[in-house]
Amino acid sequence: MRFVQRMFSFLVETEGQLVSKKFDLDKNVKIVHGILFSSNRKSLLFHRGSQRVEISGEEVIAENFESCLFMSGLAVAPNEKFKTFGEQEGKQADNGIPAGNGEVKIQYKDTANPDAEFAPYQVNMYLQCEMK
Amino acid sequence: MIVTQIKRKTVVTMVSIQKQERFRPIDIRIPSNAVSITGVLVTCSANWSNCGTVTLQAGDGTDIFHKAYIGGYTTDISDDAIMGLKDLSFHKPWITGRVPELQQTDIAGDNVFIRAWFKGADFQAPFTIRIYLQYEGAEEFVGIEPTRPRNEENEPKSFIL
Repeated sequence: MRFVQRMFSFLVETEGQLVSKKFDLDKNVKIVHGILFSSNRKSLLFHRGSQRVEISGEEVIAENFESCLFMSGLAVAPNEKFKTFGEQEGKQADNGIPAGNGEVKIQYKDTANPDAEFAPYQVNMYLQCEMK
Repeated sequence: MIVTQIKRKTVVTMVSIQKQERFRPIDIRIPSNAVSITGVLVTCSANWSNCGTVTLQAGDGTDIFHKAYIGGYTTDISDDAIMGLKDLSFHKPWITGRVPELQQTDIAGDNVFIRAWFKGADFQAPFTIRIYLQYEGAEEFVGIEPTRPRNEENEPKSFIL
């Protein structure tokens, strides 16, 4: 099995903005195993961000799901940073989400928070993909 | 061989708590194909240390299965801050990686409605709480896999004379 990480980025330019984006995975991606969110202003993403994500028409992250639940830290080993899909009790499963037609849709919402004053920021979404 | 899979999905419920509010019942509807509740998490947008509690009970009147104390994320105090040095923010969750995560539960039975109660403690401004309930659905059919690999040499061949 060969794994690759794909990065998709977009900008949040105004306070309270709802950003809808559609990205396409490579044709030879078979399964999406994990997801990770990061930003150039991590405190804003942590406190203000929430999103809904669809892969090939299937909702994999429900609306209003906070971005902080999919973030990681510098102190975390690189191999442990991704949040895997399809977890089973007590262990991480390897079933993942089939890439299907490769269409990835994200609806990102910026919400005001007293802990993080707004400034334009970039959101990076990383997907861990298994190739055919 | 019949291949099946069990999917896990999460229901997110957002509730705005007003300044004077001290008690709020919340009904959370889970899709009817849910077999069991496998994870729970309650987060809060405020940064005060003790905003209150959220208690969760399954719809069939069984015992309370989760009680969450809600408060700010940045409750860890760094060694630098204790010693009066300039805080370098090494204790922030996006450095340590200690971001919120679902706690595992296993609540089977009638879970179409989950009842939650918010009980307020000490806060001075409105804030939002989010309740995440991860559920496991019924087994779904995926496809059929051949039990042994096809060997074309042993298959009958047709000849056109």
